[in-house]
Amino acid sequence: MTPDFRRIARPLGIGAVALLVEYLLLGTQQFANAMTLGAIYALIALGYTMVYGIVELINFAHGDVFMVGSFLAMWIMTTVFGLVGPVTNLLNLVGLLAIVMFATMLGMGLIGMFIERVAYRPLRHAPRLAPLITAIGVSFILQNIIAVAFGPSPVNFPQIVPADKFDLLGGKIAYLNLFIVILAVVLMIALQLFVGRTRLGRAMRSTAQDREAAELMGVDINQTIAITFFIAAALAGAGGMVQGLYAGSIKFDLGFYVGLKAFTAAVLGGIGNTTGAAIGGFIIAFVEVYATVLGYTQWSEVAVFTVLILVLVFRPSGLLGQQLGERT
Amino acid sequence: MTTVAVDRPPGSNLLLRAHKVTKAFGGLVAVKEVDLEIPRGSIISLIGPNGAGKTTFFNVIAGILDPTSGAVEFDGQQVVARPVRAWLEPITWVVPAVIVGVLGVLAYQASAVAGALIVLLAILSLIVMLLAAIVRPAWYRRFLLRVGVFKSARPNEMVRAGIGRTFQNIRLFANMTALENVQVGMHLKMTANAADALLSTRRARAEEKESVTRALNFLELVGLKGRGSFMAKNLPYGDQRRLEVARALASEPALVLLDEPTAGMNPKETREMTELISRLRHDLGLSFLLIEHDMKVVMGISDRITVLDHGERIAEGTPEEVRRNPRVIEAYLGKPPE
Amino acid sequence: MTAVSNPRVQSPWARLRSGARNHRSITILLGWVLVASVLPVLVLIPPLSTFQPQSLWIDGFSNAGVFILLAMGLNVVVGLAGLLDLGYAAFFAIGSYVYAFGDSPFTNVQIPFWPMLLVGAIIAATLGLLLGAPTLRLRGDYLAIVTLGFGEIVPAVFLNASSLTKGTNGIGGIYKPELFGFKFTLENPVPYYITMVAILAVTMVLLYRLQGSRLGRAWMAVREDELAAASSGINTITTKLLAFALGASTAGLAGVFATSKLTFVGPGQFGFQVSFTVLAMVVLGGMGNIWGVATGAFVIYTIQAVVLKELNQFFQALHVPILQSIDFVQYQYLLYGIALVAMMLLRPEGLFPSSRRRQELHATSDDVADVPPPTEALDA
Repeated sequence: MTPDFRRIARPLGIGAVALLVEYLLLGTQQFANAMTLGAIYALIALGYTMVYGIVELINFAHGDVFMVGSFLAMWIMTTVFGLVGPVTNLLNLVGLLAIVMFATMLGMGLIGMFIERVAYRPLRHAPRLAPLITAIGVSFILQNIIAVAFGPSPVNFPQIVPADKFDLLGGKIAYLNLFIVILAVVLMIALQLFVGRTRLGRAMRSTAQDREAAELMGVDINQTIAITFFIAAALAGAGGMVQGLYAGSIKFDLGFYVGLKAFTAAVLGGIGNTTGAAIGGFIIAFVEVYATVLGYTQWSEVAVFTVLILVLVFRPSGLLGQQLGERT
Repeated sequence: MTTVAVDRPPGSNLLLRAHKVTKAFGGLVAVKEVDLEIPRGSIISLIGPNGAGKTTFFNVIAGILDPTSGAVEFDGQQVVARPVRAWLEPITWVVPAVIVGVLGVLAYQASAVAGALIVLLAILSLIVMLLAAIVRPAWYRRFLLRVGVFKSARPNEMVRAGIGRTFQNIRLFANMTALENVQVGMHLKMTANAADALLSTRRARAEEKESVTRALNFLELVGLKGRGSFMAKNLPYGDQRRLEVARALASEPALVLLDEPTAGMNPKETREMTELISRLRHDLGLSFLLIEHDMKVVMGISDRITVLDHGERIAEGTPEEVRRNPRVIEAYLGKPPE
Repeated sequence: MTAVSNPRVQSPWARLRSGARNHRSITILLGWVLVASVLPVLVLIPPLSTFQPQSLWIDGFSNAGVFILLAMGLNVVVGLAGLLDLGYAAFFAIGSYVYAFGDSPFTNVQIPFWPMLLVGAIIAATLGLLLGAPTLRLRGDYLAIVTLGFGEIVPAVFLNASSLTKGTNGIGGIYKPELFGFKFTLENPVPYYITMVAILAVTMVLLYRLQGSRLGRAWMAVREDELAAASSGINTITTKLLAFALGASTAGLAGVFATSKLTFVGPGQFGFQVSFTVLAMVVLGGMGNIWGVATGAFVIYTIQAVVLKELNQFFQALHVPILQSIDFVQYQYLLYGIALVAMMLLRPEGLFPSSRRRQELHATSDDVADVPPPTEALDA
């Protein structure tokens, strides 16, 4: 009981202290921005890390799945519901958000499964380079389908959440930021419960540990991998929707940049480790916000990339990852 | 029952010595304080039932896994041990560059040109250190030892030291010809560098030509005459195993590690392989370490046998001694004879 | 396969083949001379001559040459050593900017074009070493993502460091090459064309030599099985790093040439699309197959630069409303993406496989004839 409690309490304590320090350093507004960005990065990083954990493939298309998710959410909102501006009725707003999010996650999950089935599964036993190249191909296909369908310029995303703010310790925070962070945390807890407590989650963990042994124990490998891709893409879809709400406009190459940052987050946290991916997402977001606060907004990508290189040099296994021996 | 090797004075004739090698994965101890000695010119076998820790031990000796404790000496040099202060290594790459860089920034106040030159020097020192860390020349290894960093030899450094190996599940270069596979094995015995190749110097061409002749000799030695232009993946199974041996021999090692060299072979192929190993020992004076789970294979050709069970050494001795050892019979031959 | 040829009664064709095999470098050079002299004549023949005038064709061939050079360089990295480099355009950008800094009124420095070719290649290779050193120790996938990031960062640095690079506006008025007093001009595309062909021919000779050397075998061994390569005595990291640096230097060279021809450089020229296009060229041409990759690059560049535009005009002229509104140029990257996936799934050896890759079972006992078939260089 006590060690279990300590196992959870200590990291939580460290996290709380770190957040408090960040809050004091950055102030309410920037802190809220960093938390929101971090929530989005974490949602995407989870997908990278889950897929890598189970099939050892860097799914280059994952960032673009996220981008397609934001376009799908936009399309549902504008075309299906005809939304353009804020929805003031709270009940309507919550209902709409729930429906749109559910539909986006379902749709993206199916697309993720489809991509796995068509582009990755046939190459499971091919040389390592082959699935990486198809992944980059899929990434380009997704980008250009969207570019052709919605045009190459930024597209407005309906701002259905009113821009209202509330006071917190002398600063103002938009309800939207709060919503995004809470949503991400809820999804991450749901994922942990799914992986930790359900039969399918157990199948996923055992497949990640040792695919052959899992297969011998009766785990349906194809099904398990497909479900992993479903969940990864669904989380990216949710991330895509909130990205649209947060940024106000979306573009076909959005997934490229955000994907790169989320991947860095996954590596930083220790690729293959879901908790690490979430923590990495927030750290990367803080790095980016610091670059902005210090007046180097255009250099934020360079800063994130430098973090990636430094992690690879000094701690390739990431913060929470297992040792990835350099000699094997 | 003494072997030829044991008669010679110790020290000079001892090729490889593993001392109390322990390897734990998390809480699971796969190999526990195992000792092994390989005298020059001998065939030593390591046997044990499946899961006894043979492969783990083998991977430690081959420089693929670092041991949790213990060490391996080859030719009197420690080649494998638990890394010491490995975290210090990346810091040594950056520290000179940072120091020089700071100096450069300070000098920049005085003179822009001098500052820029010193910063350039800092970048240069970073490049040199990074490259040295990759190529690991002798001075870099000495430098590491001086600052107290020890890292086990990498697999390629093992080959340089004189240890060749084969793999349990054949690992040939599938899309290269048999001849090229052997030529790759000669890598360290060849000297042509990129510049030689680009200029196609006389020396490089002569060496290339000679390497073909020598590779053909190695192929002939293992019984693959006339198969040189076959893609490795198109060779029959038994030939692939022989090709792996030829590739290992091509680096002209003193010791060859064979990981289950007869796995998956039929009785005839198995017999041919054991004959080949004895012949190579005789003709070339090579030493061998064999890993096998099939005891029958090693009985005929081994000088000494070490038996592992549950990660521990339970017996060591000549084939006769091992055959009679009650612990071996219990742990390993306990099941009725086939 | 069954036709056993007596070496004394060889057909002229067989004799040509064996001669070409024994004198590979000369064969490649002659092949390039042949191709380079035929192409300008070929475009005078009707269907091609109607598209654009000969001078534009020749100009286009020089541009295609830049991509052939890029593809041959990337082929060393991806095809021979099996490393996925997704930021190849970064080294192209570095070569371009190096030339812009070294030979333009912007910096007021004037180092001639010819030494700059070397300088561009060396600086690109050095940066390749710096980037590769920390990442090549790790698993191959990391290199892919790090190069992807690098490919984004380098143009971003050139964009943001505007005091040094004029940012978005780019650097213009860069000097054109000069040879013994002869000045290259934009009006006459032929000198550029000849220079490009010479660079390509020499590069191809050198690459074939490397491929058949100890180093080339080490690259392929690392590609096939890294652990087995290390256990054969190959320092896998050095070997990979050499491939990476060599690829980078080729891109740097291509950058210097391209900039000297365009006389302008800006950060917008080096987007991910460039890296991606070159990767598509390598994959379609057949990874690891030098002449196949060169052919693939030429074909794709020509399709991209000429055929898609012609298709647009063709459908425009048809006056069919739906077809008229399609912009084929817009679809090119979508097509590349589909092509990459389809190639990996259906034909991983590329569209122009070398006979080496095609070889299934070689039933001769003639062991020595094991050099890669160089006669194919003629076809390029």
